[in-house]
Amino acid sequence: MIKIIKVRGASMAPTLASGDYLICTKARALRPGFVVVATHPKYGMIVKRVKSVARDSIALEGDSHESTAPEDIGAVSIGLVSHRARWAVTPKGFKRL
Amino acid sequence: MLHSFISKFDSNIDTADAHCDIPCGIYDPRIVTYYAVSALRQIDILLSLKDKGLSETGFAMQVARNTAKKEEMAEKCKHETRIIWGDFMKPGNQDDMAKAHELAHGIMLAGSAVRQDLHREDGEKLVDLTNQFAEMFWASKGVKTKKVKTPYAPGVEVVEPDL
Repeated sequence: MIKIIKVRGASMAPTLASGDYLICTKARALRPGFVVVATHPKYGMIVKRVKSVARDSIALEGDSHESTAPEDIGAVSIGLVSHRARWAVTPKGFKRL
Repeated sequence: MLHSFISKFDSNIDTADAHCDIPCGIYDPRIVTYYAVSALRQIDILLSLKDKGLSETGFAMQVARNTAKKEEMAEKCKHETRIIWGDFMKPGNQDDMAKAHELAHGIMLAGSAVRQDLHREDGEKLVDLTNQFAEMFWASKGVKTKKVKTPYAPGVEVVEPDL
């Protein structure tokens, strides 16, 4: 099932800009480097890159150096990761993630 | 082209945050003021509808649309205030925490008043409080501010950083 999600904010710059659209599929077999959408217990729906994967949880980080360290985001349960972003639709065109 | 096409369906598309709720250090109260001014504008539009000679149906539709937008703008004003208040304003960033609490709480109440009823003075109060909030924020960063009149309706004064 494909889902479109809009990005708000700049912590994934330069990969993603605020206002870009993500074309996502269901999150399965997560690996470091994947761009994912998760429902964080404190921060709500966020888009981040997978930094590392443990058995039941993952660590997330932003691409921008101004994004918070993964330690501050904390381990996120894999069950809370809903989608993997495959493509970004930007005002300039497509971008494969 | 595709981006522009998808944007037409924004209201039905979920949004994922990649911003300062996970602190990236970007805080700017202009967005708070922006939503306050937008809420005031919706109040003005609603108050002017009865003079527009609309049909009963047209009137009802406009009231519904502008009321929904008024409430949305007021709620967003409160939301953005909470982010700056909760994530940025803390000892070390803000000297006068008592004033920060008082202003943020005042915006919560004024924002709710804007949502609940239709009095222009409630919208004016919300704009005034967000201006004070912006002045306090920029003062904490050592940035001078200036008051400028919005070049669009409702033409009220807003606080901007004098960069």
